[in-house]
Amino acid sequence: MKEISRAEEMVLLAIWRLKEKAYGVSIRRQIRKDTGKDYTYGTLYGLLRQMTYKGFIRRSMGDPIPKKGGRSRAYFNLTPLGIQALKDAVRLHKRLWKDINEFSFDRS
Amino acid sequence: MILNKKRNTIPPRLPERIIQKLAWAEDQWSIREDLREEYRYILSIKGERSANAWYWKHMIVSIYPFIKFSIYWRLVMFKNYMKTAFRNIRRHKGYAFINIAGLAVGMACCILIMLFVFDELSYDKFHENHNRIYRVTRKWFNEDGVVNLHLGHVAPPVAPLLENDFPEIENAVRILRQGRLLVGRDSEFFEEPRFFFAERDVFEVFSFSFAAGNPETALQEPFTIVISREMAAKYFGDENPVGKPLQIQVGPQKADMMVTGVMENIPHSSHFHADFFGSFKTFEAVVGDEEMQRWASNNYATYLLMPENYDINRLESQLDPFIDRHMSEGMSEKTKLELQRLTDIHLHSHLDSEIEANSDITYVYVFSVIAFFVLLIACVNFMNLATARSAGRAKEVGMRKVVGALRTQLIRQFLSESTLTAVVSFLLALGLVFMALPKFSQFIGKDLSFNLIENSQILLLLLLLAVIVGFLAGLYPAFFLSGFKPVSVLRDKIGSWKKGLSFRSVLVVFQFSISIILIICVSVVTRQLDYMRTRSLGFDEEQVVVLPSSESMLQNPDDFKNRLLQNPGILSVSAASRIPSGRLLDSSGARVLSGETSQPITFRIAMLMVDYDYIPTFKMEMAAGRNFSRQMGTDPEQAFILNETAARRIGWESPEQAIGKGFGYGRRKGQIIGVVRDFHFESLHQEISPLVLFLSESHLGQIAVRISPQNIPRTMGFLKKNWAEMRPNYPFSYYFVDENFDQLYRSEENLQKIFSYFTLLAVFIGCLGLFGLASYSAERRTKEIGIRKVLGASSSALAFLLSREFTKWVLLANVIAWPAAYWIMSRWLQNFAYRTGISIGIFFLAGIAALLIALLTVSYQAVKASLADPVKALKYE
Repeated sequence: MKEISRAEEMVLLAIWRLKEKAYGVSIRRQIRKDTGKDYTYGTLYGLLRQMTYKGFIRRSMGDPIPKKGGRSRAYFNLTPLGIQALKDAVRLHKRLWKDINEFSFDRS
Repeated sequence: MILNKKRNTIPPRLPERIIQKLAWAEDQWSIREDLREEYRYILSIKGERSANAWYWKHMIVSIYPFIKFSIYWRLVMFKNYMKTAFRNIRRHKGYAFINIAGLAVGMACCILIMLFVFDELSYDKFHENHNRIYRVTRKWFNEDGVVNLHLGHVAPPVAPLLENDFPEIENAVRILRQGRLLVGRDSEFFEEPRFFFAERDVFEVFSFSFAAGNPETALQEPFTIVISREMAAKYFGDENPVGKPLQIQVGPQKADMMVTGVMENIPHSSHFHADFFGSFKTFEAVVGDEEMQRWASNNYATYLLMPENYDINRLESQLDPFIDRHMSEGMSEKTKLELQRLTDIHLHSHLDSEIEANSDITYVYVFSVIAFFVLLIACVNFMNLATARSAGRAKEVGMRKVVGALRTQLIRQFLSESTLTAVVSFLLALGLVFMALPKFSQFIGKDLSFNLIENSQILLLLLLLAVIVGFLAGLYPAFFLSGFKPVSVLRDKIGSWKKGLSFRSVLVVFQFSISIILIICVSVVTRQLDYMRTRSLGFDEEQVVVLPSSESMLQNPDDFKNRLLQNPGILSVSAASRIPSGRLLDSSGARVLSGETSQPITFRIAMLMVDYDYIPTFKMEMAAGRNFSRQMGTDPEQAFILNETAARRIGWESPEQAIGKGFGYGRRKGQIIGVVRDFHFESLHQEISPLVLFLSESHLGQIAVRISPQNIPRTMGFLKKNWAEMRPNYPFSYYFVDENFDQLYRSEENLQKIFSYFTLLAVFIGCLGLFGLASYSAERRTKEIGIRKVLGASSSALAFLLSREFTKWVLLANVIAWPAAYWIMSRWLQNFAYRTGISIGIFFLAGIAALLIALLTVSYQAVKASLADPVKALKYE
């Protein structure tokens, strides 16, 4: 199983939190809320494409925007592979940070 | 302030456009909507100004990630294209093989020929000063102003006088080739054909590198010598030769030469190859000062080293006054000096005498053109097959489009696919080149090397070429395929086999035109060669052995002849200055004498100094009069025999008319006693030139012996024994006149061989393509054939149906090829004074051959398709 990058992890988590409501704007806000990082849409969509290609998320079309000529906007959901990736990430974190807290780094 | 509400909810146009441009097509719309949503939000809280500022800032910060990700995707997609390309190659092994093999063979040919061409063009370029070195040549004119002789070497006084008169000449050196000199150490002697005498500065003008010794002083003293590495090994083995003596035979006596240097073997890309450079002072010491002043001794190749950026016309324009000043006033009307670039010698110089035989720029052109065409045929093939197959891949394209592939993506996919195939072909071509190089080197008669590092420039160029070829070859199918409309593709099983037919047929016609042209050329070249080999030369050239004479033989010619004639295997013996199959380079002024008046002849009559037995030995025929006779006491001084051409050009209507006429040649005066029937002395490239024969006791350097066809080895053994006695120390060397004549046509023979090989290749590549197309069209028409068969068409009718298309193309190709081939070959034949015509038959034969080859190629598929079970055919797909 390939490891996911920190950025990918953030996007995946944001999508997971948002459940059915994950689209561009909401994902960006979620990330900002959770981490304080302000992603540009360039980065965001780049990551989304990349993860679609890798099979972590699925892109689907929602209802058309209620507007003349409005097209449907792209929504994103996790695939089983994406969920698996998140699980792996959690496990990795736990193993990696086992017995360690912030104070562990201070010189005693 | 009046606010237009709708307007203000839309972000500024420019940054929005930019973002749209940067975004991946699929996401463009989503990104726009997302940004508008955020914009509206900021607008509602902080107002327009900060919303706009935010938007601009966001756009600018986005540029970097957009570009970063787009590069990432390019790479990912490239991997994907490659993967599909490999899958495609694997799935269609047959086509892939034809495609790759055809292109690889074409490229391999091209690489080989390029190696040859680059090698030809590189001659003498290894000299550091090659741009500044010029060779002095000398021309002689007839009274009527026609050039009568042009030699690549000049008289000995030229070099020192030029250097004296023109201070801008940095250096002038003379080298003299000493044909067949005896060289030895201890008591073992070898005849060395590549012995030169050279002036001290020869190593300053030319860049021959030294393995040992000092090039600046090596040839300073008399009786010093510089030898090549190869000769050092031959004569000295592992010893260091520098400072050791080597004996040479100059004139009658032997001289000890001190080895003062060893140079690396002269590279093959030099217009002359010396194994030995004896110091010029040695030669001067032996022949004496008188020879060094003779303007008639034109044996000294003379090279000038000029300053950087010197306009050579300045010197050339002063050469006429130079001649007048040093020879005699007005002499420059009869003879001129000219200058020739060193680097032009190998390809552009075809003088009457050169140090070594040169090549010809024509061959470089011919080869380049062939290489170009073979490559072109291969590329055309490639395009052709790819286009033909495109119809079969229409479904794939349709599917890709439906799931959202963009046209540009498809174009990229096809381009990378064909580029990949081309690069694979290129690698295969490299392998082929390595395999074929030794053979190719052998038959062009030079040692070409191919080295990935040394030739890296050529290789890079070729790799680039491969990529371009792949790109070009993929271009048409790429645009053609990607233009399919998905709906029609998926609905109709598109790409009926006729799609793109006109384009493909043009390509096939073009390919076959070239093949037919090549076939015709090969046939004409072959016929001309046969013609030259079998044309009667006007004398009997078979069973004549030519050997060198020696002084002891010429002192008492009759004794010596009788001694040889005792052997029953020897029929006749004659000594002469020149032997047919050589050149006629000597001539003198001729005049017709009647009573007291003497009328000079304005054209050149070549001379041949012979003995009594020349005409009978070669079995030449007399047109009128008689041969020289021992019974006539005046013959040695006064008798002349002309050939028919000379008699006719002087103005005598029949050979008989010439008999008894007064004639003068050089210092001799007398009358014409006979006219010999025209015979070919030189190669058939040349017209038979006017010729005069007279008796002489000196200058008879060669001895022709007619032997009987029986028991030749014993006769040769006898000759060898006698020559060893009369010419001690020299190895036994001889040649046969008929073989020597064949040598004259060697370059044509090479041309013919090379032409044949490349024609074969071109036809082969063309057939590969045709085969691919035929199998393709048969496959596409499976259903049609099935239906026809069910309705009662016979197998033969179906085979005919399938072949008809291709037949038409080949016939059309003939129409294009014939005039082109006729034009090319009639120009080539102009090189020969005696030539065959171009008969219509050759054209028909070539056409029929091409047609047969095409039909054979196609018929396999046609027959296979027509014999197939119609039920299966109808179930197909």
